[in-house]
Amino acid sequence: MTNAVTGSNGAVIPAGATAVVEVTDLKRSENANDNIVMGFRVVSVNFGGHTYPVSATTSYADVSKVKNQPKSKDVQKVVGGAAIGAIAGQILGHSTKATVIGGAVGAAAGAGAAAATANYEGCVNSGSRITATLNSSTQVNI
Amino acid sequence: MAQYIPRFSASLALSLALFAGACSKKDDTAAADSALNKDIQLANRDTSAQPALTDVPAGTAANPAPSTTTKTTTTTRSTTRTPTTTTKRPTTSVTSSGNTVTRNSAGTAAKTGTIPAGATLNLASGSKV
Repeated sequence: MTNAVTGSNGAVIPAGATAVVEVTDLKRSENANDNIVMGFRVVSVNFGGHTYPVSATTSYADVSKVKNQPKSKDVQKVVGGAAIGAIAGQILGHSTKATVIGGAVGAAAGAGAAAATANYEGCVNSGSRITATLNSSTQVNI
Repeated sequence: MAQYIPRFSASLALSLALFAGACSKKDDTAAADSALNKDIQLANRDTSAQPALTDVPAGTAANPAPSTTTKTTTTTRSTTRTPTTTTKRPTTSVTSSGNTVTRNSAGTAAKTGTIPAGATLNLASGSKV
């Protein structure tokens, strides 16, 4: 815990107390328009040699997007796009220049496709912030 | 005139008798004074035998022995105090059916406080998830 929490009768959860957090939901992003879903639940808080079960709702978690697809897959999409573009340029222009232009346009389209169709995983980095609110009061030793 | 002479003699004799009696009584008074002085001297000299109050409550005057018994009891009470030795029961035992029973040592209840509902817990992830 980054901040101490003060209660009644001198009860304090000190900063530095350890919380056990459980991942309840996890869904990766399948494309650029798909959101990542991660759910968390605070199970217990541990300090002073005691473990206190808590019921809390997580209201915020600092989740970052991490591309899941290997880089070779992206290269494959770009090359595939360039080849398609080159063939299209050759057919349409019947010249080498047209083939080069067609290849460049196809590569750009392939890169765009690679970015749009990539999978993204949710990630909570070390030190990232998670905020939870207690659902019910908790008795702790003084 | 002659008839009054015997009366005069009688009166004279009576007076003499009274005078003599008075003189003799004076000697007795002196003797009584000396005896009184002697008694006073004896009284002043007698200092050893002073009167003492010996009245005591009716219950204890008749039986002086119980007070002694009470003192003896008090002494006995003080001498019979011995340090109490507590034998700790084993924390685990095995029942006849083979189950193991574990006893927790009795301790004082811990003082507790309450973290109210709605309190915000700000956490920082300890590792990458």
